[in-house]
Amino acid sequence: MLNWMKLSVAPPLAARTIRLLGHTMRMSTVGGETVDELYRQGKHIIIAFWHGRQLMMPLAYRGQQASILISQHRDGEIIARIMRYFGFQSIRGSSTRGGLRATRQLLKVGRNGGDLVVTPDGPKGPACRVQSGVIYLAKATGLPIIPLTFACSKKKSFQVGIAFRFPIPVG
Amino acid sequence: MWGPPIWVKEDLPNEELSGPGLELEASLNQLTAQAELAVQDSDPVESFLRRMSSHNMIGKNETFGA
Repeated sequence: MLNWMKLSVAPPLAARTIRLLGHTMRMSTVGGETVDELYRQGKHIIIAFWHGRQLMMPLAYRGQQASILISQHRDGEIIARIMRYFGFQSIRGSSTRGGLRATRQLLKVGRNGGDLVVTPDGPKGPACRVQSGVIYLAKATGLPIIPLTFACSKKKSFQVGIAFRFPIPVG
Repeated sequence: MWGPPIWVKEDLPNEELSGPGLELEASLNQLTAQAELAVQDSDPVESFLRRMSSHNMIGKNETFGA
């Protein structure tokens, strides 16, 4: 029952919550023109942001089709299902489980003209420290890495793996 | 907030991958600090309190009234 709630009820609720939060915030984007220019040139990108700043990232995406690297952990399944509501595909794996298969899939998508989304510090951290995987990915695909971040004036931080920031409505 | 692109040369030796890694790390941390500052400035209360504290408008030993 708990699993059913987590996997079937929580993802659509979470997706709606993210959209609702987005509507309650005065959002502004800085530096997006660089990404738009790359898209105009027909290029694809690797988007990188810290794991603790991922919550509102689906709303920031400016491209057509992106694949997100998400761990094979149970929480990862919830995140993957939430991302589906925003039109993202997920590639499951991490350095500890399913890494090789995930890397192959990421390379395939990256070389075939899709955007890739990664958190370079991963769910287990250390927080805000880049692991080499994303750099290897950029080298092997030839895609540029575009750093992305998010901040909000009113927020609550809590611990999910590593520190996670949750914006308070009307923030 | 989006940062500038970081390109990694395809012929970069594996032992030199830490260079672009540090560049990405610095870029993400700098962007995050800038974004945090920007949202603080957009919040009038936060902005006022921060300005008061940075200009030391209320000193520790300052007394009001009598």
